Amino acid sequence: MIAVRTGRQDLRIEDTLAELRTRLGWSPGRGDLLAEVRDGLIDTADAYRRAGWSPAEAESRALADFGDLERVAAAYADRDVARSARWTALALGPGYLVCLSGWLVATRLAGATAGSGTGIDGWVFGLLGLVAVLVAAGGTYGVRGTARGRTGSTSRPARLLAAGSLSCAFTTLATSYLSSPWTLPLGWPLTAIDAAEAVSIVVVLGMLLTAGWTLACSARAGRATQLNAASAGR
Amino acid sequence: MAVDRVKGHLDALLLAVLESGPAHGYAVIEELQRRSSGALDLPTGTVYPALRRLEDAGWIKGTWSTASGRKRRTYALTAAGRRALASERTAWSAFSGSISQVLEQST
Repeated sequence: MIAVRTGRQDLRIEDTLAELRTRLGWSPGRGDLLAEVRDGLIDTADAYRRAGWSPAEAESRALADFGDLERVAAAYADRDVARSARWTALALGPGYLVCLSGWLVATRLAGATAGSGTGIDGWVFGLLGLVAVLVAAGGTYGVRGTARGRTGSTSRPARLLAAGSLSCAFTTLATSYLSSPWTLPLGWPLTAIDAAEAVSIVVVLGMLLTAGWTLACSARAGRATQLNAASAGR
Repeated sequence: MAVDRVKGHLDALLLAVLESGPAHGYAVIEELQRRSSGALDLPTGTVYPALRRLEDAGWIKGTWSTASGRKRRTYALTAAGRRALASERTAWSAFSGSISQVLEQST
């Protein structure tokens, strides 16, 4: 068996890739990431072989050069968080504005008064529109911030962005429910306002789930980075 | 050199290597070691996620090809990457100049 000391067992290139696959969990494009790592490991082992090392020793050295698997997996996880945050920002920016604008326009066209009889006036929805503009601006800023994260970052901008979107989406849902307990389009014919309300709720709920998922990924990456920092300090 | 010392400068180093022309991950690592005369002996595993992150930022563009029956990803610097590299160089000159001033100043 080719010896690469990992602290747990001796691993070969394919075993290392399998271990990395497990640590990465489900991740978009995981197969491509692993193919790239495999190619790099084989190149490194080939270089050692050309330098005169035996195939077994060359493979061992290539794996030793690769470094700590936890650190590599954490770096990929940080990247996933940044990507999730960017997608959340992109969904929030135009998505939130289109969603709320469509809702308001449909309400006006249908002649309905937002919040009638509930104590919540139409200005609340105007305020929500303003919040949406601010969220869109924050999302754009977040996209810039997360795109320029440094290696080993704990994706703080990503966490802040996700937390902001979570709060915004939750507030929108709560306000819309208080204004008019959701009239889901269970009846027929489906009116424009029914459809607009339903689409709005689904979109905002989707953003809520996306933001929650981003936060969960961020927490996972943060834990991994902290673990790495702790193990590096030992 | 410890990876922690390079942290924060890895982006600029990778962009600088790719400024010479497109390269795949292992070639980038080799070039880093060659240019630093072996001083930048980073764990190779730190380079691949960094390349993907730079690609996400739009500073480099990766394309797949097949070489000797193996899938290989080659990266090339983009126009945005060139601007980012210029900015990193300016920032590094200012930073290293300040540090040198402090270290070399006798009391």
